[in-house]
Amino acid sequence: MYHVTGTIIVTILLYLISYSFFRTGIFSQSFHRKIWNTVLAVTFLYTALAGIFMALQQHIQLETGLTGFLKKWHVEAGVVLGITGIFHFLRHLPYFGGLFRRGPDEPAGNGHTVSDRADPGVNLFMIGFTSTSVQILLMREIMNTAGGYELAGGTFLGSWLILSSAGAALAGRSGLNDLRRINMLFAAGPIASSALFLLLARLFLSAGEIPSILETLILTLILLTPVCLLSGFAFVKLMNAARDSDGSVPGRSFSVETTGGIAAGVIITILTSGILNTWELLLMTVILYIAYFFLTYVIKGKAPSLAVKTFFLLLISLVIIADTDKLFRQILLPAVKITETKDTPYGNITRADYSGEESIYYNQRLLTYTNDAMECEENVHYAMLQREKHDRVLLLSGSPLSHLREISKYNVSEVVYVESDPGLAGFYSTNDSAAYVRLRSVYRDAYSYITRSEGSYDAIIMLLPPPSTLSLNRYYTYEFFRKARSRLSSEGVFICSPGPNDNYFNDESVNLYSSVFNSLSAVFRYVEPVAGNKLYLIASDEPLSVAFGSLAERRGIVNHYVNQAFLSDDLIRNKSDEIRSLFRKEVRKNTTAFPVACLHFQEYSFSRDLNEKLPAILLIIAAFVIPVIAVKRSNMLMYFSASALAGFEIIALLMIQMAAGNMYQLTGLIIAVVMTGLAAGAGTGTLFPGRTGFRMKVLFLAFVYLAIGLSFSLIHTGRGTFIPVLVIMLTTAVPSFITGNIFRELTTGTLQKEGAGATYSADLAGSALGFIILSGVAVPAFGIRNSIILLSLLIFAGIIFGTKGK
Amino acid sequence: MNRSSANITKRDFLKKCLAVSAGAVCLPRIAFTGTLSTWEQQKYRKLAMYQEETPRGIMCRICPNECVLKEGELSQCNNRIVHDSKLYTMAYGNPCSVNIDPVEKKPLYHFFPGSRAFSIATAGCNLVCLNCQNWTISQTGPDKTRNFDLMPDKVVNEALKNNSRSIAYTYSEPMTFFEYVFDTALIAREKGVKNIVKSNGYINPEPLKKLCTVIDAANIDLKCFNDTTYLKLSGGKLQPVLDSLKVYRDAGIWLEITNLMVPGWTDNAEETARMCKWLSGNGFRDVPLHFSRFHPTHKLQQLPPTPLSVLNNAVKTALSEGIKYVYTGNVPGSEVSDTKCPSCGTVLVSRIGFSVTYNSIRDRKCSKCGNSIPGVWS
Repeated sequence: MYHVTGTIIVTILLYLISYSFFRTGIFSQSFHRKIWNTVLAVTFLYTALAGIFMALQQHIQLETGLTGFLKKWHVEAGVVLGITGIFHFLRHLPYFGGLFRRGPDEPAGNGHTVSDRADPGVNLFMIGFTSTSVQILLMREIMNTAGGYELAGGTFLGSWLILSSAGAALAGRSGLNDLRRINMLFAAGPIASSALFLLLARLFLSAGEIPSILETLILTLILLTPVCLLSGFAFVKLMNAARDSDGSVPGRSFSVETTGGIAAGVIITILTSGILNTWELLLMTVILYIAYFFLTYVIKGKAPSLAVKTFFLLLISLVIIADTDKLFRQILLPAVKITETKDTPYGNITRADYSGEESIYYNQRLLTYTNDAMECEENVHYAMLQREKHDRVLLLSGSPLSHLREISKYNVSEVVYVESDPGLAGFYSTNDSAAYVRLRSVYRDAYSYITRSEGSYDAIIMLLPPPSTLSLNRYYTYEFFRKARSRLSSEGVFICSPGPNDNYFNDESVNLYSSVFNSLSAVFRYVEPVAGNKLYLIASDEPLSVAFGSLAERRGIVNHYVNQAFLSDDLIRNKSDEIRSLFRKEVRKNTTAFPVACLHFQEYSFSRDLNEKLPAILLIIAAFVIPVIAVKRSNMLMYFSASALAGFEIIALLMIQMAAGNMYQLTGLIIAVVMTGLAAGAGTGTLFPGRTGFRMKVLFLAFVYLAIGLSFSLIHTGRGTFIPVLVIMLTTAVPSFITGNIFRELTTGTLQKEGAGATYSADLAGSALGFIILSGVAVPAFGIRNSIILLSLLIFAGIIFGTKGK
Repeated sequence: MNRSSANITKRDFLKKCLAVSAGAVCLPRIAFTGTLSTWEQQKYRKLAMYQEETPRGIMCRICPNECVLKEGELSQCNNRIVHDSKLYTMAYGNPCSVNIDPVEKKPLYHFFPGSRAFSIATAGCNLVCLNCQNWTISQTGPDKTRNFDLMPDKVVNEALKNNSRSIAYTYSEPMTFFEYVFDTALIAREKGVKNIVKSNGYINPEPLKKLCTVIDAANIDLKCFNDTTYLKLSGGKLQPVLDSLKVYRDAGIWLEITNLMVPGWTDNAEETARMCKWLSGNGFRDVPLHFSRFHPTHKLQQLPPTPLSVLNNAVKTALSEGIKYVYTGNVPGSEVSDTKCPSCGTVLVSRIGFSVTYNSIRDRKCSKCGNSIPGVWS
């Protein structure tokens, strides 16, 4: 299907954004023209070449299998070409008029005046604060829409950094130095991006549709364009203004901006812990910045200042009172009527209504719904039918009441319900749970609970979502299964579902399920796959049966679905055997240090849109090739060391979850350590003067990564929580500090070659590379230890490509 | 040799590495699609039926997509390819999915109740439904799936060996492996095994008429009653499906219709009423109509399952429009699954899940009032 309307609207919007940038002086008219001439040339070339290629295909009978792809993009590129062509024609309209009447030449240059009434330090802090706030909040929403997997997060951060670096690079070419105008434009960025997000989500996605990876990539790139370009642009301009006004070195400006970012991280983390919702916060952040802009650059005098302050306070109150999040959530989930929405530190919970039936969404994915008997019966009875008696049952996540109804069909004395997000407590009704069985609710991470709690259970029913992210992957690892086994009684049964039960398992799903099955098989003596409406894996140290119909009858359990009327024992047995035969023993076990199931899940998601796989990969490559080509040799070191640090940040988060059982509460801490380290490094003077000293420092950084990689097993197997967490914090602080210091040295003194803006661009683009490569590919494919060692290789690459021999 | 031209800079080296990486990503795909004519794949190729030479290429006349293909090109359903100016099916004797299902699972409620169907599917489909629950096989081709080696005679033997009353061509779209269905159905018929197609009804009348000479029953998905929704949801058109229903009806094939009620897409009450009115007014009053509950799948994962009230209202609408046998599916415990005599209201066939617990139909008649009950009952 072609996105004709969507492509037309997006092209027009992008053109208008670019046009407004040149009109406001962010970049020159010639640069604006260069962009669109390039778009025109590229789309023309593609449309023409694809057309010729397809014609050739027909005539010389050449088969490439690319026809579908070529056709689709031939049309899409043709639409962009058409729209750009119209603008091009309009731009040259005076030329046609000029054929008859000669007009005066366009004046060259754009001599803006510098306004320096404001304190650049405060301004930098505000920019850092606003950018980081918008980044955190928009990322939450994009992750919700995309499905929450790391590649989407990496893509977001990557796009953010690449576009910001483009903005920083633009600043070097722009003659716009009026801080008032720069700030006014910066304030417009988040508004434009948010509007684009809502508009594109509605234009490109049908009701209830999840985006493909390519759609996620395109959506992310487009919507981040205004906010990131303006953010990078404003930072570099303010950095220059700070240098001009009080002689601040770029490293200091970087520290101030980063401090604003840290403040935003802390404040947003606190406020999203159930106090305020994402969109409310986003609106408030924008309002706050606009207020700052007015009070600093527009309003003079006490009385007008007071009036403006009052007005913006009222506006913020209105945002809270009006329950704006419900409105925005409704735009993003148009198929249902939103009745309640709440953001917690773990995600977004939304209650919706459709024709009188209630459903609850977690991060915009369906969590529970009315009349869920079929799913609940499968979740509970496949495990519990295995044994005659059950005393204690552990229920990990899921909707408690629906499952209690099923569990209470057995003579159970206690059900312990573990849910990581306390926010869900208010959404699930457990009022009449006492009517069924004794329930004890624990709001704690399941991994942490299994690791640290005491007592044994006759059944552990794990209802956590499939291992689609590194975070969820933890619950499908060999280590987790081993802990679960230690909590089970001798005949106890464990059940989980690593994904859907497709009629046909493609290679991607076979790999996914094999990795989890192999991990379970390494822990339990008996593991049975069950082809239900989802694929279930039941495991125990005692024999298991899949004759659920007979078992239900024998045990006197009356069900709507798990009974002989629906499930024929022989057919279920045959299907289980068939699935077992598909599993591949050679597929690596899913472990904490080698989270392969997560990688296989991403491949499985990719397989939904096979035609889009190639363009998505090419787009990702292009996104990284362009900055690499643009980064000058002198900044290559910044590029690679920033990518190593960003990659290490991801690894530190994973190490935290291995040590502490969960990553949620400590995520902010890791980010704060990284940013503080960077700020401290950038704010500290030269550590080792001279070229040799600089090289020694870089070599030391490579050595640090190498040492952390080689000693990974020590951190990984460390006992307790406090010491390993402390060690991880320290190991994170050291490379952050050195990387910050590299930035300082590259932007000051003898090493400064290209200007601070260019170094900053290289820093951002490098970080983008690190986020995507590490989270999306390296960690799942090579494991954590090897990925850390890979970081030292990145630093060596920086030394090779970023330094000159004597 | 000139030193400057012989030396490669680090930067050039880096650029070349990136270019090679990009090439490495692209090449496997091109190489892969270039190996389509291996002998192994030739084995499962057969000259396609209903092909027509046109000035623009070879046209496949099986379905309304009517792909016009040049040498080496694949059809939209991923199953047909042009080789030496002839159209070949690549889905012949190579099903990727083989199961034994209760016939009620198709769903067919008036066709040998309680029997089992030997169910097969090759990869490929002529539609692209956002809610396809079999997307792992429907949105790919037989050259990309793990397949069984089951030539038509072997399929029939397997069905007999597994005590299956019928063979069901299902899961993906059987019209895309038309030749395989036709040849298998022909042998099955000779050996007394019935043939069922579970199809989206997206087929041209001429091949369908031919198919109707060998099949016994069909369950057709009437996805919605709105051309725009059909296109957006499935990439198809409504009219060809309606035309197919008429062909099945006229050919005397036992027919049942399924309408999957996707929230916000195909569950509009007004549209359901129009659909029922059309069915009622076009001679489908005796054709069982199944309203099926949607569950989030494939691309539509942000939708809730269909509310029971929507399904029940649809049943009421259908009954009020004069459709005599209306059922709901995918709602264990709340299903409308019993067959009642439209004349006296007696429950004639009682079902729980896929099992028939009671059947009082004798000689296609109500055991109480003698009213004729359409279907293939024994």
